[in-house]
This record gives sequence, C-alpha cells and structure tokens, in this order.
Amino acid sequence: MKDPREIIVRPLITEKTSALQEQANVLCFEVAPEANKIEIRQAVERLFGVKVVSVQVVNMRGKLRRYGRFSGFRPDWRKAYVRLAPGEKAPEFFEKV
Amino acid sequence: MTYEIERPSPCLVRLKAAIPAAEAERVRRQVTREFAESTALPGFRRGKAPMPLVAKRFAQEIKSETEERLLRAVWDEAVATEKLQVAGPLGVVEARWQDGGGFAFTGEFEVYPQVTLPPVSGFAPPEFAIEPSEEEVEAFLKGLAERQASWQGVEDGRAEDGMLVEAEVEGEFPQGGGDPFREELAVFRLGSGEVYPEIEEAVRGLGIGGEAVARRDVTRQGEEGTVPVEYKLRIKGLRRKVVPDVDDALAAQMGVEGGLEGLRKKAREVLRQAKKRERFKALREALVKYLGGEQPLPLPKRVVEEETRKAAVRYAESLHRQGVNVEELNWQELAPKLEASVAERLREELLLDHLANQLGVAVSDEDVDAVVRREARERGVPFAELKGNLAKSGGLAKIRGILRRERAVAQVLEPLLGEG
Repeated sequence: MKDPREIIVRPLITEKTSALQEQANVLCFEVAPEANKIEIRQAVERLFGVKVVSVQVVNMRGKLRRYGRFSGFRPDWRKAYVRLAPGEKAPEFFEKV
Repeated sequence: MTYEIERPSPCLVRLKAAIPAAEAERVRRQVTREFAESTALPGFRRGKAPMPLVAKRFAQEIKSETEERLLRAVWDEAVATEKLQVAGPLGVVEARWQDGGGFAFTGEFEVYPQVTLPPVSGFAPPEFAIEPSEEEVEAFLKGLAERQASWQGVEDGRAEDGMLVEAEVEGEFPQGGGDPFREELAVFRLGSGEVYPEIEEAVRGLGIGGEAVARRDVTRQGEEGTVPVEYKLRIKGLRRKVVPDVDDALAAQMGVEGGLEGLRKKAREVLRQAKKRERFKALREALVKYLGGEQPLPLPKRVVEEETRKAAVRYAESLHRQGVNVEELNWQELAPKLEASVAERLREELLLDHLANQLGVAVSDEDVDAVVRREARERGVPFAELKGNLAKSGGLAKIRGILRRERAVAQVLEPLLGEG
C-alpha cells in the first residue's frame, strides 16, 4: 500500500470548503493525480483516524499562465471531497495553512 | 481587574496589575474578531475567514495586541482613578500569561509631582522702589550725552589715550615668513586695546604726519613658534571725542521740549518705566519662589532629559547661525548648566500651571489666534500656514500654556502693584 502522505497532498481550506465542513462534514483535499477513491479513503482514515463514508473526486485542469509572449498551463491536479461519518470530528488543519 | 500602585520616588509610579482570565479572553476575542474582519486570507473573501483560522494565523500579532490593550486599559484606569499627571510612557518591567489564562504585569511610568500650592493671599511682595533717584537720572543723562558725542579733528595736538587715531600702516617680516602688507587707513581708539600694545606705545605722543615703527613677534596661524613683524606707522589724522554738556542745547538736539528740565522729566519717565518692568520681573520671581516653597520641586527625569536635549539643539542652531563652530564647544561641561536651567524653567511652568488651575484661568482660541496672527505678521508669513505648522508641532498648546501662566501671574500681581 502506498504511503498516505503520497496520496493526500494538502487540505484545501477556503470559504467554500469551510462551509462544506461545517454543514456536511465534508473535507476537501488536493490528492495525487493517480490516486483512486479507495486509496484516498484509506489514506484519510489512516492519517486522521476518522471514518469515511464516501469520496468524490474531481480532475482539475491546470490554469493558463502567460509570461509575456510565452503562454502555458499549470499542471492538472486532482481534488477529493471526503464525507466523514456522522459524529466524526474533523481534523484541525489550520496550523498548516 | 485589580492593580496596585507604588511610588518609589515622587515622580515614579510602579503599577502592578493582574487581569482575570475572563477579561483577558474577552479582549483576545475582540482583537481576533477585528483581525478577522480586516484581513483577507487566500481562499477567503475579506472578513470571511473563520475565527480559529485567523487566531492561528495571526497568533503572535493577536497576543501582542491583546497585551497592549490590557496594559492600556489598566494604565488608563489607574491614571484616572489616582488622578495622576502622566509625564512619560509606560515601561513594562515584567509581563506574563498565567496558567489559568489571566494576564499579570508590572510597569513603571513617570508622573509630574503632586503640587500643593500655599495660599496666594500669603504672598508678601518684596519692596521695590520704582521712583528713580537723582543720581540715576544724572547717570542716564550723562549716558545720553555720551551717545550724542562727536569726534572732532585735532590739528596741532599729540596722540593721547581716548583719541581716535587714523594711521597708514605698512607691515613686513624682516626675517621672512610672510608677505609685506599695507593698510591705507587704519582707525583705532588709543588706549582701548583695539590694536597691539606695541603699536599703541609707538603712536602715543605723535602728531599728524608723525612716523613710528613698532615691532612684535606674532604667531602665524597653524604654525608653531613666532616670527617678528615690523609695523611702520604714519599718523594721518587725530580726533578727540567731544561730549556735549547736559543742558538745554542737548534737550533741543534730542527734540525734547522744555529744555533741560523737560529732558530730566523725560529721563525720569523712561527710568520709571524700566523700573516697573524690573519690578514686575522681580515680583514674578518672588511669587514663583513663594509657590515653590523651601524644597525644590522634584521633576520627572525623562522629561528633564528630553527638554535639555531640545534646548541643546536650539542653542547649537542659534550658535551655528552666528557662525560658531558648535563641534568645538565643550558639551560635557555645558550639559549640567543647560539641565539646571531647563529644570528651573520646568519647575516654574509646573507651579504656574497649578496656579492657573487654582485661579481658573482660561485662554480662548481667539486669544491664541491673536498671538499667532501677530507672530505671522512679524515673520511675514500667512496666518493659516503658521497656525497649521504650530498645530502640527504642538506650538499652539505651548502658546496657550504660556498665556495661561502669564495671566495667572498678572491676576496675582496686578492687585499688589496698584496704580504703579
């Protein structure tokens, strides 16, 4: 099994994810592009010691970046919404922000 | 919150305070809320970041701000309750967060001393005669005549002390060391020390056209040792000072009606006015001394130091304007003298401020404006510009203070001066 820290890249803490966490107990992470839902569920459960109910993933397109006459794209990445079981306490990420 | 006040010296206050956890927490929350409302974190619109995130992100800043607000709150309360007149900032000696979340600190700050003025009714003004004596009037008239003196040419006489000598001077260095020099018309008063004594000695007793030689060893600037200089002098003119008699003619010359008696009357009036000013000054000094009592009033050290520094800067600037090289002055020697005079001024201001408070002296904005307007006219600058600059530098408050003090002094002294 892969190291959970290779699968979970970083938590995404924004206004939207904070609201999701508060209202639906859903955490949001940037994850490794090749990680699947099962690996993500296991990684979150091992890293944070919580019970995961479901995982939804989104493939994000890298944004267009232009440097003068040169233009290119930021790398594509993968985002995962992880729903925790009711009653599970979300981990405290803020120190890493 | 509870605090204790100690007075290690009359002008120093030590403040010890303990703020309970609930109060400290309330202030911390308030500070965090303000941070959260004003900061924009990545991923959040301004003011939308959650409090815990803001609290962790700005932990150090929030802690400092909370401590500062707690210190300020206790300090303000202590100053208001104890009616202290603060003279300097609060210096924190020790500050720590307690285990339960409370905050405790010890700080020190300087205050102006508590002044208890003696009753003004007890002030006995010293005797001061304003009527000039006959001797003073005569001396004044003599001085007046001196100022009207003229220098009259002497054709046949010999140079003697007190005469104005006009001479041609040629100088040379017989043993080298300098270029010869010549002055067509040197004018000096004999016996006054305006020129070298050797030159005065050589000239004394000579008539017009007379020649003499004076020798002197002089030190050349920036060199060690001396070189002899020979001065060849030729008298071109002699003048004697003629002081007019104190009589009707002098009065007429001065444009005073009524002859010598009119002049005397005028002189007496001038002297009386001068003495009135002196009397007011003497009485003011006596009043300040009376208010201060026997013991010199203690002063906050930092205020004296700061005022001395400002006075030194002003003094240096004024000397620099006169062309004096201020770096050559012995500031170490000057500093204690400057400090003593500053301390005296501060004591006087403190006492007179209390006197003004006691008498309820008030100075309106119009009074301050009138002073600023007069000053602006004298300096030739626009009134609004000067007032704006003074407001920025604290000058308006200073003017108000001076006016208050002078009015307080006048209020006490004027009844004592009577019609005089």
